[in-house]
Amino acid sequence: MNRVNFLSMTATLLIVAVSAAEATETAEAAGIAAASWYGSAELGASVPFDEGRNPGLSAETRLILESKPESGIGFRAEGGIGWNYGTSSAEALAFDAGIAPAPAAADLPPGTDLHRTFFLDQAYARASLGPSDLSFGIVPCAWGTGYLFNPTSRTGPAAFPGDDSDTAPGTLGAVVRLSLPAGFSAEAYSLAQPRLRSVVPAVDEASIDRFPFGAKLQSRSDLIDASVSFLRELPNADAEAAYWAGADAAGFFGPVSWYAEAAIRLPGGSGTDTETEACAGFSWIVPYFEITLRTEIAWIGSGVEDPAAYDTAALLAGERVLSARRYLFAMLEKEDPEAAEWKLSGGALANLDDLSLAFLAEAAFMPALSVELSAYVRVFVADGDGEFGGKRNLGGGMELTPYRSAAGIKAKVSF
Amino acid sequence: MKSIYSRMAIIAVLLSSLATGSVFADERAQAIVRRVDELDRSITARSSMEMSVRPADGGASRTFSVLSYDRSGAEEASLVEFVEPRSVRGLRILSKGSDSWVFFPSTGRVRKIAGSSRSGSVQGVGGDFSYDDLGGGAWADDYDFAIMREDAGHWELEGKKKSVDAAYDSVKLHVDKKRELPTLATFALEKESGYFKELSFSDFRDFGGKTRAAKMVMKNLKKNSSTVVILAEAAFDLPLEDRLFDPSRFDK
Repeated sequence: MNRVNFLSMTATLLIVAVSAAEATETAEAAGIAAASWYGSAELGASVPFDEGRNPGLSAETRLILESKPESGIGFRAEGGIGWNYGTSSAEALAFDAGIAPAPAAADLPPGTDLHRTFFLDQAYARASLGPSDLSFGIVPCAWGTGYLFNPTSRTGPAAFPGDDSDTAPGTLGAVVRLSLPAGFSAEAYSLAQPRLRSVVPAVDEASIDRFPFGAKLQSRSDLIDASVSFLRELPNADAEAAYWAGADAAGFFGPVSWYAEAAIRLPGGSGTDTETEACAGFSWIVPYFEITLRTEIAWIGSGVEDPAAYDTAALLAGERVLSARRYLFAMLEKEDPEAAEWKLSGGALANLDDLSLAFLAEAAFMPALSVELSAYVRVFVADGDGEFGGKRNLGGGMELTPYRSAAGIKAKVSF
Repeated sequence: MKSIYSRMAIIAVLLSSLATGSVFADERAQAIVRRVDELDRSITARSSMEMSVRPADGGASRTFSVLSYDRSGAEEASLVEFVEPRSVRGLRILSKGSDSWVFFPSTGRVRKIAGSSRSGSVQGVGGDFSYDDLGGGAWADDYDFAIMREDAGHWELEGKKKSVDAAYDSVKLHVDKKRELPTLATFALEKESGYFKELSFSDFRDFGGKTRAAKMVMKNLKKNSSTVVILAEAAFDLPLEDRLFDPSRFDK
């Protein structure tokens, strides 16, 4: 999520909304739907399993604006506002743990409320010119075939696996895609932002020799979808750029869908040694029961095997979410095959280095097409200082438990 | 043309050379299918329709609005885009040859659909149409047909699977002799113990100079559920951009 200035965000949404409304009227007069807006409102509550812990409350309203004034030209914006109270608030948890001092209201800029987050996930224009598509603005760039881990997707901030599966947050920049003969295509992006954005702007952060960029050659064919890529990643505004070579593929073995994705950091830039990230997995619909089984195994070369060496500072800084090297994920999904009125899913992410586990289960019920009610539970199990559910020593007598078990409910209405 | 519409309208591009030598195939049946195909053939098609999913338990119908773009010929392909409800708006399914890709707008990702998944209902939509029904291959490419029965008004044809890409093991087609268009299609799978789904065509009207069924009902005979498709608009042989059918660009 991009925290943005409240006034500029509001103004942007209003301008786009007014433009969309005007365009809709024009389009309706012409008999076509050229612009539209829609969105969703979500309310959630969670209860931590820890004794004495307060519940959390959250709400999010998301607006999507789309405009297609003419064939091949389009605009899309997706943003909104979220509120978090109690243990749903990351700030509240940080203040409570003493990781960061709680500021006095008078010390914050006018209009700032740390309960509230404005976000603009996407705002980009698209133009199709012959065999190419150009998108620029805050544009999503979701690369890779992995379901949970994406070693070749290196433009957005780190997220807990799966937490970024509902939306595609964009980054300021441009993406160009070129269709080539024989099922091949080429895609490249150039961005103005590092993965971890700085709050304070600096003149040298837009230095051209540090711009993140990526390019890939992709093929989607009968047998296999595959791509090879080259990336320049800028982890944060102060870091040296890192260079990666990546590849991914997806295909089938009979009824089983498989995929694999890997990236290797090349010597030079911010790294002197090579480093590898890779994942591979498959999905299979179990006959008769019509249950989808997904599994994925991942290797993160920059992680460590000893829990005592987990990089908690990087975790707190938002530079990385997972600390170990080897992970295994498995889940089962079952959807109402008749009318998609309900969906059940349950799975586990295992840290194979410290053997800690994260269990995730969710039941969703859609009483109407635009209404979704769901309940979930997240249970983290670890011995001592294991990653999922264990404690980390911050020094000075302080301890942090990054992942806490909780259960919750959510209601979402699409409009 | 491969789409929900063309599938329902029984587009069958039959290469006579493929039929030759088949024990099951019936030359007269193939001729009928070829005629059906001729009447239905268009270079391109764009249509809009409403799809209502009716659960077996008698629960309320769930209605989806869908846009369909189709192209026939050597680069045969179809694109289906969900317009309503808002919760699945922008979901797109591209079918080309024996391959299908799904674009999920919420994640911005394109996923290839496994052959086994293609016989299942569309994720987040449900209903009695599978990914294959929405985009599958040409009938005559997938099945060898023979005449099973005939009366004054109809032919009843049965087609046996001949291609590994065929969605069903066998199909039955009732073809109206006067219109030379199908009125009923029934589908069988071995794992479903025989015929288990049927698609009926009714309310034939003129759409852009071509006769098409304005109402199509897919019933699951085992579950007693049904999905009704109402064709609202259709236009044929109009220019459609290549990017709509390009696996690397259809998500834009």
